[in-house]
Amino acid sequence: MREVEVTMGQIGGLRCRECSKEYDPSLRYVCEECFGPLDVFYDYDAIKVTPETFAPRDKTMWRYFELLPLSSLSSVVNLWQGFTPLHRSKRLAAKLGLRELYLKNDSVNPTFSFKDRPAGVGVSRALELELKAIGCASTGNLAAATAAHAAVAGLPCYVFIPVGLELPKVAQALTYGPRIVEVEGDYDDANRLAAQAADAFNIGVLNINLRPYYVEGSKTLAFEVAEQLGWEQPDHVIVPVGSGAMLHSICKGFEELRSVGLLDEIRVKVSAAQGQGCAPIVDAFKRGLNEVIPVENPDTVAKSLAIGEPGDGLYALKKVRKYNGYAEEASDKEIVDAIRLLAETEGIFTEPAGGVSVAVLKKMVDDGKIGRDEKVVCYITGNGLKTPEVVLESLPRPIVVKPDLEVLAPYITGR
Amino acid sequence: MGEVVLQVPRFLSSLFKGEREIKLDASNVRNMVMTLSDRYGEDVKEKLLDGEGRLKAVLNVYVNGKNVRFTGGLDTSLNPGDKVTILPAVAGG
Ligand SMILES: Cc1ncc(COP(=O)(O)O)c(C=O)c1O
Ligand SMILES: [Zn+2]
Repeated sequence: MREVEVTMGQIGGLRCRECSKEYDPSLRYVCEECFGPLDVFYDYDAIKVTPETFAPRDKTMWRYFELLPLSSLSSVVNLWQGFTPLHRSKRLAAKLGLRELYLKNDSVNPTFSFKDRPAGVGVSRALELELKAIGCASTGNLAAATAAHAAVAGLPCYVFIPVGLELPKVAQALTYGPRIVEVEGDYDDANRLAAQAADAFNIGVLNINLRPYYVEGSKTLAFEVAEQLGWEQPDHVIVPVGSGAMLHSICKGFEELRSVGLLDEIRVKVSAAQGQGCAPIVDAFKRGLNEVIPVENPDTVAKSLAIGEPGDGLYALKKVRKYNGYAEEASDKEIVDAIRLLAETEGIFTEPAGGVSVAVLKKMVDDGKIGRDEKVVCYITGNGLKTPEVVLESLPRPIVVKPDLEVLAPYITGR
Repeated sequence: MGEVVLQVPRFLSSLFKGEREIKLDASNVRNMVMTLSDRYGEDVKEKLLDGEGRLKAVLNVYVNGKNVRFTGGLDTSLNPGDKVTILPAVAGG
């Protein structure tokens, strides 16, 4: 990685999201006083950045180093993730009737989902905290992201997944060489066991006891969108939601750009997209609740979003309300149709989480919740090669022919 | 013995004087919290419950691996031999 001139040590510490008590940036994730979650804060006044600061740097998410919770660039475990394309949509935008639609294509990250962002930060921080083993609880994508970074870092890795994940996700993750623990139960069971393991065995579990650092990686989804739009914010973003951590971090990202003077007053609307069958945040939003009621048996084709007890659910809900967005769900059929629509119009092959984003985008435009003149960014967070079985059934079979031009001719219709 | 076993995670251990596993008699989760409060101090009640006497939103209590929010919350009944765990709600994903 190219040398970048940075001021070190701008990470201020950890602060309780509930009672604001502050802690030093060590291996802790809950407030001792009230058990609220801890977030990283920075000395924003000391961070002197301008658009020109970033322009000459590597096209990876590490270009925003000043706003990531690491004390040294040399700790970075780098898979060259991030700075993924902000793809200006033509044909999908036209189909939906939108004037300015962008797709943030995180399906092309090194392990093929946005999870390389939080995993990269979490594993790098684990090295700084001198942890001897790491792990994660995963709905599928974090498994590969964590295992790949553990491989680069040379750390033992324990991955907790529920039974029944898509085979390509398991095969990919296994290939990086972690110990994978398949928990007989759903994601929430795997997550609980991982939390107990983090507590009992002193493992750095990215989305549990390393969570304050881990979630910081997803802020770069906001940083990049702002930079790629010429340091402007979009009018509206659509974010697929499982635990709500990514949506919360995207908001924190925009908020921090404001704090360091790179954006004006925040006016982007933030909307949450979930799969029907596991949509507790949508449910709370639509019913006007101030709590997120967990889903006992999640049932959606979007397995990566199938989190029935979303840790950041209430916090994500509050952000959606604060930033004047909506929460909407998509059925399995709408998700599959949306995956196909995205591929057919934009050449982007996504997994169901991306299908949920696009399906909800379409629904919100149809319902008038997104204006035709709004500058919209839709987050496409994972790759379709991870879940081929989801679309395969709905697709036409290939035409089978003998290698003979005459046999072929009747099939060629687009002449 | 007809007792319930509470597994105390590290983040709660100071509340329970450093103990990591506590055996006690309790017929339901509310009852368990009260018994713990008697044994370890009012702090227990104050830290685990919110102003309205409900389990704090930032905590999850599991009985044999089942989140009590699915089974009646603090009224979830406990039987001898049940394993109870308390974990921070903000985890995972
Ligand atoms: C591809 C993809 N998109 C979105 C999400 C949702 O992220 P979060 O759980 O932070 O809400 C996940 C979670 O695993 C995912 O794998
Ligand atoms: Zn606190």
